[in-house]
Amino acid sequence: MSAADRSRHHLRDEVDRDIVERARRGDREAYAVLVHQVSDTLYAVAFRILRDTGLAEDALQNALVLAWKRLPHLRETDRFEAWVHRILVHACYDESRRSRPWTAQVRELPIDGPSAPDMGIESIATRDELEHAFRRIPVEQRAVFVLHHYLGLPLVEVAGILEIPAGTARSRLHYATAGLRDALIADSEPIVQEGRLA
Amino acid sequence: MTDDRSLERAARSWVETGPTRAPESAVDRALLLIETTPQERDLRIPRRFTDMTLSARLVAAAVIGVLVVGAAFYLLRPGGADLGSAAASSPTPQPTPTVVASPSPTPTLAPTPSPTPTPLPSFAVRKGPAGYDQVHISDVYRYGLRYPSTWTFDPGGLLNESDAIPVVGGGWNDFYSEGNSGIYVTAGPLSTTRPDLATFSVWVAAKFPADYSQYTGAGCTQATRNLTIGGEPAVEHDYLCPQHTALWVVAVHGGLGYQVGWLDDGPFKLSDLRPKFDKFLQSFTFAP
Repeated sequence: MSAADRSRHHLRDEVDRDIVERARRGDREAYAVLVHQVSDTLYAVAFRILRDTGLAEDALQNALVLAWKRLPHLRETDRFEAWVHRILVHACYDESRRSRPWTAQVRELPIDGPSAPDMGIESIATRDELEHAFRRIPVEQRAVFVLHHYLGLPLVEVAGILEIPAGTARSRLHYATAGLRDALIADSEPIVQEGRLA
Repeated sequence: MTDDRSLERAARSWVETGPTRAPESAVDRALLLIETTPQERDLRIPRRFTDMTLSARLVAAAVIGVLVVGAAFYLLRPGGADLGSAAASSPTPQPTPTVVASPSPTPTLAPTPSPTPTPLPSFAVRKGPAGYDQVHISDVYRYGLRYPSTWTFDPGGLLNESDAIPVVGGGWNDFYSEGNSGIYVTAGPLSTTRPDLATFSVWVAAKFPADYSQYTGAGCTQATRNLTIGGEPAVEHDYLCPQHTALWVVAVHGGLGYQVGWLDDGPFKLSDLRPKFDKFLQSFTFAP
């Protein structure tokens, strides 16, 4: 399923407004139905922002519990999915801050020098490089990148979900892409050691 | 692979990879928690008169009428209102330091802010260490402190619940961050079963490891120390593990239970962390 399909199916059509309304009034069974409808997408998004299954599970769990607590405040029930995504992204921010990477990152020196340009995603090395690079960009930028590229949401909608100006969403995406590029370039250079005390 | 178009193409393809189904265990855990979690009451007043039901409109009109008539009587009575007396009765300024509380801006982190908190009276924030040149005063959690300008700050908008370790997930705590590490500050009403520091502290010491299981288990040690923050006695519970460290301070003031916590992932020594935490706590000031 493409990103555009995901967006169309998961953020607009699948959630029944009546079920949201019942859950909003305290019906736990209705909320359980909602949870089963949205949790796969929420988890997929959380994993792609945090790049860690354990952290993604924690973010999902915290977001679902918090959404239940705050559901009575939701006025526009047809905006439930956007609203719960906003809560999830904030849960990801917290998980990311709480689980600050501490271990020193030591890269192996490439035997044949830096990677050849434009290797394509088929290359395992490129995937690893992207994984490394993505972890280095700020979580707020990762969130915009994932909502836009994975969920296929227009930047205006991403901005609406995150309650940030559209220009901010655009600049975060720009900096995410630039950050990826810079990190990939840095990855092709000699060893550095990272690590900083809180 | 560093030109922008090929990079974006590769990144789009790469971001598609990964799990697409939530683990059942995670969903089940969430549903189990929800079984025992009450929803917040929606206390907001409809923003527009036309959003209200007919009976609500009548009640609102009656309330407004009573207020208008009452205010008119008050202002027009012999002698009128002494509008200057409020300023005269404000607390005497303290000698140092000079920062004075004013209601902080409406927090924007939480999607649904809690009802407007009671405005704070004027009070001075204690002096902080060198470099702690930013001041935050929370009218939600009713405290003030200083933090370094190099740190980032996310305000919370929701008062913590009674008998609750703050839910991680935006809005339930102020968060002071240095890079990806940081300190949570929150407060919530004390419950009748845990009305003082002793009972509140014992409960937190038991509840915290249950909520944050990574700070317990093999290789972890636990310690406690007594300290003072903002002139009030406090208890710090330390959880020191091979890969995780938490310093969690509890205090009580003005009917609220305060929790100030430093959570981190890494093999830290208490001797390294504690001086940093103490510096952070130095300026902590409870609102009167």
